[in-house]
Amino acid sequence: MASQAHLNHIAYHEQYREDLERDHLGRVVLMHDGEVIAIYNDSGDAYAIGVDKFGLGNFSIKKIGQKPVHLGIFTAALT
Amino acid sequence: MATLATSVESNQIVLITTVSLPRPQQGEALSVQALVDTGAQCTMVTARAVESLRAVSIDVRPFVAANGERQETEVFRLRVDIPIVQQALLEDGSQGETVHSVGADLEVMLLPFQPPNYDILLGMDFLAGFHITMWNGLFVLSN
Repeated sequence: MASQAHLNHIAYHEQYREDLERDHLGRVVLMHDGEVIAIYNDSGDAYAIGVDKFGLGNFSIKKIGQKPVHLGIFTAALT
Repeated sequence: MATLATSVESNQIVLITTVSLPRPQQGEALSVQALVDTGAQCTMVTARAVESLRAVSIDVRPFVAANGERQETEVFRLRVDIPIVQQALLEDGSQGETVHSVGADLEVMLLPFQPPNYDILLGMDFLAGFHITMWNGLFVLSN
């Protein structure tokens, strides 16, 4: 069974990304079972509410519109 | 000023850190070695450390490795702390030292490999909160 993180990641890109990036760029979305639950300004708030409401492992949070991060040169020889 | 000083060995800076689940799920902290990498935007963690902490992923996020390849990896919310030494005036008037932990709750990405000598790669999301000095083979991190 796919984790909430993977399930919600797919749902975000297939169903919500365009609208969320237009209306809430830079904010944090709390998701559960492939649905958007709420949008927050701070990832710490989204995480705490996700844990409180659904329990760890039963939700995901994602920064809306976040670009891929770059790893340092130390990873080059190992990836 | 509170500081953490360590020597640069083989042109690498490796610190002792503690990682734990952040509140409200905070459990037992894990003491691990961490590699300082000012070229990394994000702090990363090994699968070995994640399993020890019983952390659960909260997101899947793309990253670009140093070879330019784009991949996706899981993200965990973890508390990362380092020991900072503070000079203190003791009751008898002499100088002493106190050690306390300084850190942050971070969204930490899963490393796609197991490095031989560290379990945390400390990126700029952590390091940007500190003053860093390097001289004469010594790395000094202050706040």
